[in-house]
Amino acid sequence: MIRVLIIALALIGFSTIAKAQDADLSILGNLVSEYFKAASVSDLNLRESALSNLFDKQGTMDAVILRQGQSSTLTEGTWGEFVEKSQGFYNSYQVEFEESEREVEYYLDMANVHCLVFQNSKEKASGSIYYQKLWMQFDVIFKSDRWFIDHVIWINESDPYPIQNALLQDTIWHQTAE
Amino acid sequence: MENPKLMIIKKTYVVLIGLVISTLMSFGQSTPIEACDDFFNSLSIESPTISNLFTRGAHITSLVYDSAGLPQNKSFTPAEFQTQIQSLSNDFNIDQKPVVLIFRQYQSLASIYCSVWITLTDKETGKTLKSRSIQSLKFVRDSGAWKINHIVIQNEHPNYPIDDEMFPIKLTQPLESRMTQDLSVMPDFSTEYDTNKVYRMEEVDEPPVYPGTDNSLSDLLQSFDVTTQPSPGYTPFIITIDEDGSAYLSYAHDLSGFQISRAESLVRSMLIWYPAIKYAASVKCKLILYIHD
Repeated sequence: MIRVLIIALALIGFSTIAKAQDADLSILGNLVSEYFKAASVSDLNLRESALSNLFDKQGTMDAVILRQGQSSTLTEGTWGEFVEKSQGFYNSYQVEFEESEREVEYYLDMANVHCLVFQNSKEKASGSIYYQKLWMQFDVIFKSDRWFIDHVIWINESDPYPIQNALLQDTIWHQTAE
Repeated sequence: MENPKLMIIKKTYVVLIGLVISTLMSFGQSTPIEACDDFFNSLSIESPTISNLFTRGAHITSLVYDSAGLPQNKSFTPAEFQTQIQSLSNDFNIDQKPVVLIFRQYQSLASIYCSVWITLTDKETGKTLKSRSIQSLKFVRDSGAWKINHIVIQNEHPNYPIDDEMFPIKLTQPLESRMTQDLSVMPDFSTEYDTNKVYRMEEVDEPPVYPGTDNSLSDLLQSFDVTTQPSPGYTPFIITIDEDGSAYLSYAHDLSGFQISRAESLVRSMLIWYPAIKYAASVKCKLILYIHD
């Protein structure tokens, strides 16, 4: 019975991935949505497969972890290294992402995407749910008739500073000496 | 044998000097905008050292186009990027200026999406090449100082000019006039042809001719892996033959740093051409060539 359940779950997983691969990645918005879907997949192999379809082979994935005292830690690496290193977290938690806002700047074959995202992490053992807000930034590039993620970096919200302010942009005219 | 006490004092001084320098550097990059300025200013220095402005795992992605016009991305570590810039600075004075910056920040993470004005001045001939790009820079506060975590560079494509909002005339006019001021004082001797105009091959009465045998030019081009016809894996660039027959690189928009250096070496290796003729006078004329990626 358990074996049947595992096979059924695996099939659901494969079907989700197949749908992700079907998404039209020549549309920038689809790439970002597919990223959140892929990053929510529990199974290591399926998650890796889904992300490999979205990232450029040299793509990188970095995170700034902000603590209460406003000190921060930077983690850098390839997307593959991130998948490997985050396996422990994914073993303990079921992760979901809910995007609340998105802003995009682009020119020709590059785009810079800013997202405000709720990350819900449900602890598998206790069922406890933990929320955090993230500001995620995607650098994406267009080649071979579709978009690829070249780099993603995020930072978590820390009280008392609302992360909503991250999307408040300043436009600066650089002064050039005569 | 040196006095051990003296050695300890020397070491202490070295450590103290190191601390003062690192503190000064931290103060120098106390905001992401200052870190951004440091980066662009550093590029204008002879043999720039820029890798210290980046985080350890930083990358730079540059979008370039192959001869079929298809985008390709090249990824560099800061050390590799520094080598590219240093190689370019052997032949050119590099001046990169951010023009309009769209800035966002939350605590230890900041983003700058900006337009950049690039001027390359040939150290030997003084000729300038202008280029514009859009760059996306990510900054992270790392051990008290703001450092660059990632850059994506997209050079302007001639067929798809960047919005005026990112290059407002008010800001670009001083940069443009600085480049053209030497040319603007040239007197106009004739109404029949424009002395400042760079003619295309089909516009001139006699095209420029390379001296020597029939194979002299093709042999030279071949030795630099350059062709006169577009073919896969080759990127276009333009050289201009002046009225006096001297050649210079006038458009290298889509070339990488290494390609620019190679194209520059090719131009330096050229003999003086017989210039193009228009209305019985020698005129400037441009040639499109293609260099291997």
